[in-house]
Amino acid sequence: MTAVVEPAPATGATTPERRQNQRAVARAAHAVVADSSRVVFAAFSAAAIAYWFRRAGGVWFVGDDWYPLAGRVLDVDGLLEQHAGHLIALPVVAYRILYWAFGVRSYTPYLLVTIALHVTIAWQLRSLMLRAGVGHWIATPLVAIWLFFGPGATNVMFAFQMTLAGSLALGLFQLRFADHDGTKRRRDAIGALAGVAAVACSGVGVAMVAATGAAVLMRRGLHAAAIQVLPAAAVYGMWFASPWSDSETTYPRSTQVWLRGCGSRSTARSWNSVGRRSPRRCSPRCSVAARG
Amino acid sequence: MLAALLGGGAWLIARDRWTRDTRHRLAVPLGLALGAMAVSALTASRAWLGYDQASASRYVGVVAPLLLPLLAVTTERIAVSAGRHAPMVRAVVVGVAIVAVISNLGAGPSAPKVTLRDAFAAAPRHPLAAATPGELAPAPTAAPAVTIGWLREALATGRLPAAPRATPVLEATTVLRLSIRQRAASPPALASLGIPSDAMTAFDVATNRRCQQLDAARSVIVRPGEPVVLFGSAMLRALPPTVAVASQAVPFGTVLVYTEPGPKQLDAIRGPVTLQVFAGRGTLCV
Repeated sequence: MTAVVEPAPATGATTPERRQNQRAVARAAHAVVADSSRVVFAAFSAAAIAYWFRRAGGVWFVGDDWYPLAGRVLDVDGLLEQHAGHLIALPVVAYRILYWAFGVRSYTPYLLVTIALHVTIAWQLRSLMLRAGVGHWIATPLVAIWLFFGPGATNVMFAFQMTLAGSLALGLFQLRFADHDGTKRRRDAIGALAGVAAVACSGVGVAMVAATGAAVLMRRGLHAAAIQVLPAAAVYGMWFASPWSDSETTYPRSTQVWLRGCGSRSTARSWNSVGRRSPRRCSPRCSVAARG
Repeated sequence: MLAALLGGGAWLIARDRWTRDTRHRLAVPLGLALGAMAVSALTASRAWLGYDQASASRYVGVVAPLLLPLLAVTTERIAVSAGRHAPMVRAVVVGVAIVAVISNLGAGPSAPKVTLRDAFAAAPRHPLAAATPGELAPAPTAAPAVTIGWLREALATGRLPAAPRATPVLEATTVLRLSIRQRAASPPALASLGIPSDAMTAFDVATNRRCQQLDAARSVIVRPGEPVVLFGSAMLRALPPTVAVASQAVPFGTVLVYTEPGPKQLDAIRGPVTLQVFAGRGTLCV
């Protein structure tokens, strides 16, 4: 499959020195091809960043963006409550940090995260392709198409799509770390951790961990695949079995409200869910206010 | 063309002698292709949003990159099989990629219009904001999680955008946003209108004499302590004399995905508030 740059067999007798020279020439040619494609891809990446910023120009917070900003705080409920059936703990953390640093004055910092994830995914894809034996000048143009992939624009122009893009990026990261021969415990541990992080971004993480499991099973066998899959499966399974994943409604039942007299924000339940679970971290006085 | 590259390359790979090296090289592309199939199956299975969800931009953006490595491997195999013409195959791939990049530039969904920035920047700065209950959501359908209490706090900590340019329409719209509180209809509110608390659809209440289907615009005066109940959704506009000029239309009620299902109770925080209710898909009970 790989286009191995092999010098043509020399006519007549070949001395070891000549063969060595031929190999050195081949290596140098390969390095030139690799370097040039890397430079071209870096240029494409920079152009893609500029392109997506321009295309998303003027976008402000919309729809789902408001849930991690105004609908959640960094507590157990805020991290684990489902959002349209997804566990989005890591994006919630990212949103809270960005809100703390930038507020909602500008959408740019939030957008930057999604665009950075998009470009990261592209580099990881290219790297995985090269490791699969694909030539530089097939991997680079194919991934370049995806860098500017209009039909998937939603995942680049909307900051909340860091949920899906995060799962994708972390899943590919896991795959890169798990894709090796033999036993490399540190790499495996990092890969497994990335798998857990991938499922903590969105449900796409589950598919990514399954993809990693299948790839590692094919390459390294059942034991290595289990090391990659089981931690993420355990975390996601526990969350899925918990009340936080309850997808009775599309969006979280809890609504962040500001309660008069409480002096702080708290989680309160709407009329539809009063009585199912009592509001946490809220004084009785505030609970009554929240319900009323 | 994609199908030809995938199919042709896969056929060539299948004909190759499978070695350990082949298996190692194919592990990642095949694993990711499996992941792509899993994502497609999961999204298509969410039938409550429609089977076409699998082709929504956000899922296309996930499935496409997962299929790319397999496409790359099959394309590479075709290039290798071309022997000394391999550079030509690669040149064709580069050419096709350039065309694809250019033709994709404008494709896909466009960025949404900025609609709430002025509303959220203006609401907590308005004189009425201080006397408005913290849990009131100024945009109850588009951003029900954003309350005036949260906006006040964001303003106090310098996290809101600068104040927008004041206009009579923005002023009227802000008054509307700060005067009508939407929440899930409470059993007492439903009972006061003679609606059984288990009535959950517009159909259930179509025969109630206090309710009227919103097939035409109508004016309503909402007073504090006399809530109206909205089944479905509608646009509301504040009218004089409540405000100096008619406000922009603000959506209220239940919309797919962002609000919880069920009837909504609209309370006047101050008033009376003269409203025009229109473009409704449901029933208003007064």
